[in-house]
Amino acid sequence: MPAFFAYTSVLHGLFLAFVVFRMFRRAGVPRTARGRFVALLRTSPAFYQLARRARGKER
Amino acid sequence: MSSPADPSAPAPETDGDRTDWVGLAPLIVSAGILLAGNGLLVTLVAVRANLEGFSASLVGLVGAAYFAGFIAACLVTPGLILRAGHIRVFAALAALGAVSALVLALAIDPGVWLASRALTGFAFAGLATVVESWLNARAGSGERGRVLAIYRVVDLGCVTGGQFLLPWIGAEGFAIFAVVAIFFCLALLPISLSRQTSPAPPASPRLDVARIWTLSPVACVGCITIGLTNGAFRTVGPLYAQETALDLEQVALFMSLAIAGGALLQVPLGWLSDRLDRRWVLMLATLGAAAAGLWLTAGGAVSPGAILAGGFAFGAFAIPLYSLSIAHGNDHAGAADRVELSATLILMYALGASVGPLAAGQVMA
Repeated sequence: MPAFFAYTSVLHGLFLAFVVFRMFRRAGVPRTARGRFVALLRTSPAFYQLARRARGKER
Repeated sequence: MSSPADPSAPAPETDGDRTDWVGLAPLIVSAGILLAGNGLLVTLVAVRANLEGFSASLVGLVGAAYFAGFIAACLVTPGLILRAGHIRVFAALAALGAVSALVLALAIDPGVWLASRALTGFAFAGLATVVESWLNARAGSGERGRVLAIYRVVDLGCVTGGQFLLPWIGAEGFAIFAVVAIFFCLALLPISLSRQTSPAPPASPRLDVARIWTLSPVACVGCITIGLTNGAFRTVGPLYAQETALDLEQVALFMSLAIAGGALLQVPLGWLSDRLDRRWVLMLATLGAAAAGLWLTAGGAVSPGAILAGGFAFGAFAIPLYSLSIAHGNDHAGAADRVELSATLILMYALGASVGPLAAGQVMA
């Protein structure tokens, strides 16, 4: 059963390697051209829209 | 027939700056009851399946079925709402959720559980779409932040609190499934008795995987990875907790700590990601999640305290990866692309989550 978190760690490791690879392929977006982080608790399309609109108003 | 109490009457889309708090309260109460019931059921299914002698692969398959239902709901719920209206769709899906919970107790059989979990995934994702699109339409533009904050607190409190009904009532027997069914039914009361008029139906999501991949490969791979890992954690993770000699109360605590950890740490991680290249923060959180996973793999049998701390750390780093990936994708998208981007990334998450439990179950078998 401890193998469960070995499974997640391998996947997280692979994702980490992919992000490192992409860091060399494309420069980051400048701060001024980015939106702000929106904290999402749940994976739902409607929740995202609510959070996005709320954040837009806070700015 | 267009009095304010007529739910079928067309209503104006926007409410301006003011929020009708009395009108929104039933929606939020319904959502809270639903979240508590569903949060409890996800953990219960894994724990009870284990008690019934289902193999880890089978528990994984059952978890995967839940997310298959979730995908179907994301695609068809806007159409259902357009056809029947928010309240009717909510009533139908709440009934479906209650039935699927009761069926689990009536027929403890792998085939029945697979079908039932697909139905619950469909029902819950559809119900969430109804409530959240309704909140979205009804929150006054000046107070969306406050509505969202209240909804977040309700979400977190109910999902984590709901877990503790498991040790309180017990995972064996019929009672716990009946309680979940009661939650799905109770969720109907505030919303169906409310005087709120239904808002305009939400738009069906447009999905364009190829274009979103070109916009941000990191966001795409991130969401698939999060589906594979976090989706598996919610549906198969309780097995780990149960098998590492935690009692039921500790299993509930393990899952709650992870969810609370994710809610807590995404605030500072998000703050940091607005100031650095977001990918550095993505790497930091991924590294933290991988390290917590290794801790739980290597030190799993040390003590319940070590496992609970590991669960908290895993959730704290792994859960915010979703918000960070979406934020990173947004950095590369124009304002017009954002809804399509989020819909496509959620689909990728769900695709990952419909494979993740299966893969994790195989690994654990």
